[in-house]
Amino acid sequence: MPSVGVNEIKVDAIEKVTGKSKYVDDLHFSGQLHCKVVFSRVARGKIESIDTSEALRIDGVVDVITVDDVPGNNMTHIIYDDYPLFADGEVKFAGQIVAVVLGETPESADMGRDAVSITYEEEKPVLTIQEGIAPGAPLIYSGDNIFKRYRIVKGDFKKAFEEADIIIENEYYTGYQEHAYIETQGMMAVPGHDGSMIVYGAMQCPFYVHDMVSKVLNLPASKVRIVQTVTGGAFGGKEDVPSLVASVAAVAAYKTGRPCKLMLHRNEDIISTSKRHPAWMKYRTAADKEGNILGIDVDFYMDAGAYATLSPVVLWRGTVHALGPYRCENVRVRTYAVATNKVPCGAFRGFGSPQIIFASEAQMDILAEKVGKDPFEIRKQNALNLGEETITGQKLNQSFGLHKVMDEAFEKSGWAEKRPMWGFEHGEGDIRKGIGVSSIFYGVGLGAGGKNMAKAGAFVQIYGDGSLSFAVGTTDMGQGMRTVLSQIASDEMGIPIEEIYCQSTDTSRIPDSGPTVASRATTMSGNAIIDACTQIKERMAVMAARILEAKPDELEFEDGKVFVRRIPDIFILFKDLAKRCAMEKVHMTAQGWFDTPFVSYNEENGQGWAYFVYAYACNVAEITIDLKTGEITVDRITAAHDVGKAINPQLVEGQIEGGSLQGMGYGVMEDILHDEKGRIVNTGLSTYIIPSIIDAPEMVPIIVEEEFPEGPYGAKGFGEQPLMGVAPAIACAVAHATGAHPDRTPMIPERILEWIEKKGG
Amino acid sequence: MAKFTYHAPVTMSECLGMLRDNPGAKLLAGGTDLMVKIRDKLIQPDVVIDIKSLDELKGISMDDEGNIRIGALETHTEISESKLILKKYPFFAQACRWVGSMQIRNRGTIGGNICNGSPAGETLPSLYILNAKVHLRNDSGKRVLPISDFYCGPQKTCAYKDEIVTSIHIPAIKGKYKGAYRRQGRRNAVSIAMTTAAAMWREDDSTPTGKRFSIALGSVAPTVIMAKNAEEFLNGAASCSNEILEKAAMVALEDASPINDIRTTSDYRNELVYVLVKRCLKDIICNKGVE
Amino acid sequence: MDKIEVTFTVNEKKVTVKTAPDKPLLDVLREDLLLTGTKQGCRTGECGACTVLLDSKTVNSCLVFAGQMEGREVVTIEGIANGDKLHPLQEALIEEGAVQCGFCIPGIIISAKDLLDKNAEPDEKEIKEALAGNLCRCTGYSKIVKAVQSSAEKIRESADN
Repeated sequence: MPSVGVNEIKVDAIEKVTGKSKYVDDLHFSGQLHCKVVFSRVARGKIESIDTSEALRIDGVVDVITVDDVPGNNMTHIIYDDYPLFADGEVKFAGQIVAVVLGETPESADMGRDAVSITYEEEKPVLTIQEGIAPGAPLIYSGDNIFKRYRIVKGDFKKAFEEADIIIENEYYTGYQEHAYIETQGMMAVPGHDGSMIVYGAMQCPFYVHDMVSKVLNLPASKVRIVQTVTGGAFGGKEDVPSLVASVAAVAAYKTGRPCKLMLHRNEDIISTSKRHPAWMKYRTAADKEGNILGIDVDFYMDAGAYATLSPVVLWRGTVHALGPYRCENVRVRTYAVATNKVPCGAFRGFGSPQIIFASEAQMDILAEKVGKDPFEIRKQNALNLGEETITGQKLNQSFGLHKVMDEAFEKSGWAEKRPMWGFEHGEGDIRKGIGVSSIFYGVGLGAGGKNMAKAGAFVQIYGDGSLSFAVGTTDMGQGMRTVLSQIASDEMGIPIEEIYCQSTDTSRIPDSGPTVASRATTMSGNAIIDACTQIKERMAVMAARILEAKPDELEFEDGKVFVRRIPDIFILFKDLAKRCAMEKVHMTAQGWFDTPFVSYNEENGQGWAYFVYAYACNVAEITIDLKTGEITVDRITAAHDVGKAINPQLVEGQIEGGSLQGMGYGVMEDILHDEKGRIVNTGLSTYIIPSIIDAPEMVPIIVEEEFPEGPYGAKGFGEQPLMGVAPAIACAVAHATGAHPDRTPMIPERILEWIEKKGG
Repeated sequence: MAKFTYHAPVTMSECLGMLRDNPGAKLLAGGTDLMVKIRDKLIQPDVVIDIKSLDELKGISMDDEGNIRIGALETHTEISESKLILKKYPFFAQACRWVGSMQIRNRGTIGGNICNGSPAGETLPSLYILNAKVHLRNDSGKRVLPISDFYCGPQKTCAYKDEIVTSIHIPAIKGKYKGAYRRQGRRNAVSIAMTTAAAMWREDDSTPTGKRFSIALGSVAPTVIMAKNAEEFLNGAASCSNEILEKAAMVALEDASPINDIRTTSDYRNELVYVLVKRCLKDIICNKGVE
Repeated sequence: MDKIEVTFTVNEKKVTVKTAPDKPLLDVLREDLLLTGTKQGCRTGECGACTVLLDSKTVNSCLVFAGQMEGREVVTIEGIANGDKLHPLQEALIEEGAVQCGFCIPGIIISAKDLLDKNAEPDEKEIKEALAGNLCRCTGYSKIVKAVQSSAEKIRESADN
């Protein structure tokens, strides 16, 4: 019985429902110390003094650590080398790490933290993109406060605008989004007796952590080991930040020689860790009178915060996705990551694309209105066809499910019936219903922007009892990677999933496999497991052939048996073969490796084969709006996704449903607010509002499978995609229900009333 | 690591003695506010007196005249599920269901909610329009304050430092009446309200419509307030037509003086005052009263 | 201040701990009793990850003082399964695929169990009201609602037989 394509139950579900799973905060080492971070309360300024004497007098406070205690590099490397682990003489955002208090108990560390006294010479912070790029702005980064810029130039956009029947020109803003994983960030650093260091914790990217910890401690990389613990949600938030958290804990452990635990409380996590970049977009679209897009001219600015962290690559993805899956020959896209004195923004599901998609899809809605067409129709009309080119000049020549997802979403949502019946014009009293659509694509994997990291390994081992364990370099943060990869291993070796165990991800077991981001775990690690299993099967087949008196290449591994193709009743049980192989010491372990398919990108003109494959989605949102209060209720989301192949359809649905709700939160309620000094004011989950179960709409997940020949069993990554198109679909529905086009997220009631009023006036 | 002394009296007199001797003491009931405030270092009491085991502060009951007494320790869950409250004042039961989450409602008490005194407190507008009375007690005696006189400022009650709220009383209403409560938050559950409104009429021969109106507003002033101008307008109006109700909602804006804060803007609060008052009035006019 | 001795019941076992009276029940469970299945997500009663049953009612254990625990009865996630036999809710959450990162799940199970103990046939609205104080960031909640519905059915069926 094949496992791929089946709703296998999650391999780690039982321990999760019984409370046995060990997340990092559940670890306890004898003699452990507790770390409490002293964060900067000032957004920009020089540190005049740090007085720790009071803190050190408190009973139970063991030490206070600052930049002076870092044995190796304090300046950390993420993409640039610009982020000091501990503030070194100056602070650039409120929430920056200045010192760490170590206590025998969490309480003593907490009291110590309050007793550390820091004085600053405060300077006026730069708090918006506009302030950051203004002439004469205080310099946060390099000569112009721009961390990175990209451009795409294709065809002749000027001519397109000259010849256009219709030009649509608008500005858009999108707000912050906080990951709000329910498990906050945390690490446990455990020093070894031999000068080694093990760090356990919640993370997406153990190899990033490994690299930073060894450089910060000035330890040989070989003496550092990073182990991922069960991770309570990540969504991009545990991509780069865990390296910092781990390094702080490791410095503390290094200095004291004792295990050190650093858990961020919710308010600490919100003020100090990465978020989705707010963005400002100036979007011009040229079209003919039929509504065919002739050209686009886009300026896209992201508010990157005080340090570059991942902003350059986030910006790159946003650049490539600047127009969605539509045809357009004449393109100018200019993008900028701008430095401000706020918490550095980083990775968040969608990675720079949800912002620009919000703008580009809103332009589609306006275009539809201008030419008197249905928003679905305008998208179908402009949607790329197989063999056509994206704005980076990449031909879409395989695994192309765009039209299928659009057709499915159209059907299952009941668009044709609802759209003409609903809308601002149809309805009485204060309540209106609206229905809206978005169609998107998503470049799978790191793409040409990160191709040097785009490789992955796997280690597979068969034991004498016929069971299999494997380890990979990517991580499970809840999405279900351990299960999906177990299913792949199960089918590769032809043994039941119960015989398979996925090890926790540990940098001592596996070569650097890059980060677990960009929806790449299934594709990359899945292929690496297939590679390893193939090697082991070849060796075991030699033994099996001897026993079955056949040729090794005639053998099949299936249903717990090894048999000669065409004569399935002559077989040896896999268990018996494994036992025999173990006795004769056949080498039943293998390292698998997968190198990414070809990608390319020319930074001069933004042309190239940006990603090896794309996933596609179409979202339809149905909403009810109260015209008097502006209150939106999202009633139903239909989400059709082309995933290549659903290794586990139930987990795919889980990704669709969860991502859709995050996308809804992004669209209608979530935002981070600052005071005039640049400090975040909504630091808890009663002020940073995420959707509760009562806000959750009915979900209609639809799986479309256009197989990707180079993916494991045809699968391609898609975990981020469910979030990306939801806010635009809601915006389209808001426009339907109110007649006013949203130009900003979140679409909170206050703004909806403003838009309605503006339209009326 | 506690920085305060913790007491858990088992009798009322013991409790009142502790209050007398420790003027800086904080009372602990459900703990849902106090625990957070202490942890955030918003308050740093020397003494905390846990009153959870004082039976005299419990119970919901009605006397022969129809006056209802709610013990200060009654939780929001208990009130919202009370058959008595559901029958007599369903809008108040509903208001209690808007408090926090199930976990918070199971723990948080009505006494705590009114003593916390947040202008956004979900239970308060209903208690205002019901003319609820707060019963207080200290070592030397008892006193009663109308709920509308219980607050001296934002989140500041007029209770003396040695006083404890023992119960809330809702006086009986003679004749027919009908009440409603509406609110809007940032999401549909577990969210602090941006604005709240409660409205009620009771039979009264002295007004042209035969109805006397009361309207209370929350989160639009330092404390919950009565919309006196709107009430007066309605009590003098010739009918309860839609037009009149809408006009009354406009008048209610004169009563409100909202501010910008972390939850929303004053402009939006004004919009909400208008809409919520209008809808509350329609709720109570379009539906029959109870006796 | 001095520690106090508190005796209460956890998952039907009597325990006595010596603790500061202001220590949250959450920390007592996790640190003193090593019951780490109850999770900390906010420490302010806003996420529901630390939900436990206290005298058969759901509470945020981060908001309960240890000093208030004398003689009380607590049920945590560790007390839900019957030995190796999972509670129908646990089974249903697994079968419906309602578990992703799992961090909110212990709290969700406690809230849902409390609901089903009091209401054998909850409708969707009642389920949502009971779980409104338990934030989940992974699942979009719809499989959680389905799991509560299907376990309610299972429990009713087994009660009928």
